[in-house]
Amino acid sequence: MDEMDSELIVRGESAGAGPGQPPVESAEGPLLTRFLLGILLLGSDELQARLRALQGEIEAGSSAVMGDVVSEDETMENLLGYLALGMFVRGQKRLARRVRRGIRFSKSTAGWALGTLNRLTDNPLGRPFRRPVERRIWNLVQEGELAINEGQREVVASRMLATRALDETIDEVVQILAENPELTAALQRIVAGQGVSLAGTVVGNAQQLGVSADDLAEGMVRRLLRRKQRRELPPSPLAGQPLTMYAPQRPDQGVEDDDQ
Amino acid sequence: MTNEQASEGTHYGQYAGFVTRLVAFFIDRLIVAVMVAVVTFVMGFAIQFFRLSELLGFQDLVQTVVGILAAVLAGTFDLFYCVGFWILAGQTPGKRLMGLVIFKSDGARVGLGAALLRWVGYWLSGILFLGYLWVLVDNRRQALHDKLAGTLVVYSRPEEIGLTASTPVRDRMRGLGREHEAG
Repeated sequence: MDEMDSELIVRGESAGAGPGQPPVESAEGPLLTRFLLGILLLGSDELQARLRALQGEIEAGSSAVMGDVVSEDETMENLLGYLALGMFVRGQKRLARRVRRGIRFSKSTAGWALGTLNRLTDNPLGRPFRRPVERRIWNLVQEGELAINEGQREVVASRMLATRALDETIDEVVQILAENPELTAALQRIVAGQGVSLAGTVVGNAQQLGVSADDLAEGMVRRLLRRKQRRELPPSPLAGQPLTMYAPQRPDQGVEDDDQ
Repeated sequence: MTNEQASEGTHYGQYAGFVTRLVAFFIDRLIVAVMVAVVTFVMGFAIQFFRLSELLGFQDLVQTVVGILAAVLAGTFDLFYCVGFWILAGQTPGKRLMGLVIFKSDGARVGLGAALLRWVGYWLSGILFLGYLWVLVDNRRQALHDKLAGTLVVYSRPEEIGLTASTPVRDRMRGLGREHEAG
């Protein structure tokens, strides 16, 4: 596909759509979906390509001859490991074979069933019942074909959109970072601290909320049971103190804390 | 205790209340449930995948055995999870998240005996949930399993929790315990 085609696809107009036809998708939602789909596809392509390349390198570099017979000095643990792995691989192959066989069988069964139905209903008595069903089936087939075409177009369009968007964004970010070294340093600081502080805030808020909810729940239950409302809890030996029961005493803080 | 205390952080060391403990409890149960579900799923998948039930010839029996194994596994995992964390850290991950810590009434760390007793008490408390609800009316906010094992649950400062005991605090607690008994 040349540059012109890719331009059309990125703008939301499929290669198949004519000049007078409306664009396939132009709203932000579908565009975002298309972008995410494109990223997923690109990531998957990249991963597969890398895995294939690695596998090729390993196979090329490996000069060991694989023997069929297990040597006698293998331990029982190793043998059990080989057994489990072998069964897993065999099971995987068997599963793939079964799935393929299942699809073949479903196809032939469906073909046979439809053919038989066709023969049975192709007569003056059956035709009145056959026509509406036939029309629906025909509509379904058309819908399916349209969906397949749309899916094919979408895959191409998503890849192109994601490639271009990522390339441009990365270029821009790299340029900005190269022009502003202080921004790079600030970004590093933010990335290092952000995760921890955000999680800490959320957990801290949840804990505070829990403490308030504890008192509220207790007050409600006491009211229900017609018990006297508690002004304060009995003194706890640790109240208001930093809890160091399970913590090592820090030389700069431990004595001070205990004197409080 | 008031909301001001909560926001100022002076609730640290106070007896922990019902809602916080309930949330921590559910977080722990969720962790255990996810772990057990993953292991059970892998077991079931392996049995299906390697056609073990066909190989052994007892499909129903295999299913029953897997069910029993899953139940035993769940119980055992829960036991090790709770008792292990109580002994080693004084708090389970759920309690850690909600800022709670467990210790014995005399200020000592929770030992194996107390932890086991507390775990058994969990099941007893689970009868009609009454043992857990006891936190709402108890003076020191102890549940039935706390009373059985002689443990207390207090609000903690998560960043202060480590792995070694601090003697001064423990002594102070023992002192308070003696005062309470004498009073």
